[in-house]
Amino acid sequence: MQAHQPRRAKDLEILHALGQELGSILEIDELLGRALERIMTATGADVALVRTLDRLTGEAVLRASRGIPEAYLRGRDRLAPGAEIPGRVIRTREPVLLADLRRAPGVTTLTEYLPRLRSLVALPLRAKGDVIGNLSLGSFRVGRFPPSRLTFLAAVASLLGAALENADLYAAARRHAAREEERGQAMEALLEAAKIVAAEHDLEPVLRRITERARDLARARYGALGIVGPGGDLVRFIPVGLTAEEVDRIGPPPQGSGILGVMLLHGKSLRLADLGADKRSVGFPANHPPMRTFLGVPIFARGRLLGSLYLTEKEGGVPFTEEDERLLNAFAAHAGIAVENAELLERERKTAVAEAELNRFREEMFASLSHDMRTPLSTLQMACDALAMPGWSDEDRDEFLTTGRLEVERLTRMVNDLLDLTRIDRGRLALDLAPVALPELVGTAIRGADLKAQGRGIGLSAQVAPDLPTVAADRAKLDRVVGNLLTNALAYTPRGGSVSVAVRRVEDGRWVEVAVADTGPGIPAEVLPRIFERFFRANPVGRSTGAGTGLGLFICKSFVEAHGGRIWAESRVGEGTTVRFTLPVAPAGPAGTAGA
Amino acid sequence: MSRILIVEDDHALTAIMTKVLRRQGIEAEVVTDAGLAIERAREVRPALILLDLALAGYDGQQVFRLLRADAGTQAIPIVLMSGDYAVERRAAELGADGHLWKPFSAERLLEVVRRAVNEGPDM
Repeated sequence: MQAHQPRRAKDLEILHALGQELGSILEIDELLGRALERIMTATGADVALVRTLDRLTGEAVLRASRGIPEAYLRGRDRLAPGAEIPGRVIRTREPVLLADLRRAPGVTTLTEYLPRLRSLVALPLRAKGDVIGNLSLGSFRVGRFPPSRLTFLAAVASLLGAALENADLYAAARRHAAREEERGQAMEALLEAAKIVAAEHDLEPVLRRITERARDLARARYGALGIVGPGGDLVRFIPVGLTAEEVDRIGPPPQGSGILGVMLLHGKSLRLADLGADKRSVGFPANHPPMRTFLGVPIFARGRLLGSLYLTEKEGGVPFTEEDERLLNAFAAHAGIAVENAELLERERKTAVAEAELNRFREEMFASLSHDMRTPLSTLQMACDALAMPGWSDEDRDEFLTTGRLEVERLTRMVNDLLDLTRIDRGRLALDLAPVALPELVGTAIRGADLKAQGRGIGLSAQVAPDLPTVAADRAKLDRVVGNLLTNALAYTPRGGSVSVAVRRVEDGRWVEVAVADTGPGIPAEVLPRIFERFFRANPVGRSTGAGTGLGLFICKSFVEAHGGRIWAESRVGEGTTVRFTLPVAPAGPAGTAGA
Repeated sequence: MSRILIVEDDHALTAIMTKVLRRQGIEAEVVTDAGLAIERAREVRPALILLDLALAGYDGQQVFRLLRADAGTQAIPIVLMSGDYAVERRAAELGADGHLWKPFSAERLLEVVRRAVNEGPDM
């Protein structure tokens, strides 16, 4: 008994020292190497082997060994659950002690590789009540590990077990932290992508940065982003990882065929180990660098497939992971948002430009009309002032009164033009349709213009075909059109000239045509198509009345087209001009919106 | 009887202006074309030219400069007519001898014309 005391004390010392040392190491590899050496010294073992239990498969996995031939270890890094001594120890949770291996032949194959091996002990490694593996110690001496030593050996095994468990936990925590950090990095990258999308207005740099970031995070060598247009053609292609010269030499890939085509067709992600070998691949063009591993994801925006984002050649020649795919999908989503934003911005810009144009027109129009109204206002003012003066002849007084009235008419027309123009712009030209007898309308217009024509020495005439059908038209607007054309014709015709109005059926009787012809100076061919434009003012030779607003013909066109008709002009310089317009005989287009 | 030249293409306006002016002893000749205006001004040497800035197809300011540049017409006072509210400023900038902002009353017309005719060319 007394003899055991010093032994016991020594054992405790060893255990204590071992415990201290094992407790201070957290790196598994460092731990196992040192642990085995310490344990071999402490127990007198010549060989040692540690296995841990793979909780998923139940296999006993070789972790470290000392003194064991390579040949034995080869192919034995994973033992099937319950197999051989380690398996038995793990399963039974009980140690196995073999004092003399010669007396238990075949119990372990280790003797084949280590014929000198005599005794063996296999201990379960415990941590927190669970068996987490096994420690096997062997010696060239028979009976090296007597049952009396079992307690001590079990204590050693416990220490090792606990230390291993801690080290494993630590490693798991580190991996987790690394993953978390990676995820943190990935999150940051995504936030960055979102910020890029939000801050940058230019689409190309945004897409480029997204592609580069995705490539960096997934550790790929090459990446590319392609956006397709509505016809399936490539409208944007952004490769990263190639030099500009390489890009030029190779050219963009066809989007509709091969792997990219598959992705676009099905809108699904693809992960491939060998791009070129895939049967769906259409191969590579000349000068293309080799690309094997492939990860591609579709880019969607609000359910619409916009294109694809893909990476190739992952670092280390390994295939892309599921994590990579998730990451890339997230980036693709941001790319989709960026493209959407850019399109929205473009639409807004175009709308803004169109609105600015319209506003400019309106401003011009108001400025122009208000300016032009000032002359007739002047005349009206003069007429009133003159009438207020005494001593005029009756003739003079009549003239002033007539002038005043005519100027009021003129001003009224201008104000009406303004109103109509506003309505045309807003698409709110309403037609008040009723059956109109054109002969009567034209007749009234001619009579109204007769006095002016006579005063200017111009012959005015009308030719109206018999049996004209009535047309459905807005009487007031038609009056304006005919009146406007007549005024223009008279204004442009010199003294001694003539103006005529003709009405007839055309084109198998489905249309009625009104033609107003003058013998004025005519309009040059280059200018002819433009006379119906808003604000177009001709520079006529020999025009004797004041400048018009330039809106008359534009308004005529709007009115005629609102009825479903057409208006155009024919002219020959030096001979005259004829303006024709048609109206459908069948009921006109739907009353309501204009076709300006 | 003073003779003035009106360069304005609105017939209705010039007809009344002419009548009103004649009554006050001012004979007005109307020219509707700017090119003709310069010619006529040289020939007639009116006491005043009333020049519409918005003459159709011509740049009124350009006509003004031509009149001032021409040896035969540069001594003739010119009054600018316009519907543009900036006509006063423009007249000052160009160095015209007065302005008429449309619509103007008969009174104002006579006032401006008399002053320009009586005072003669500026400085």
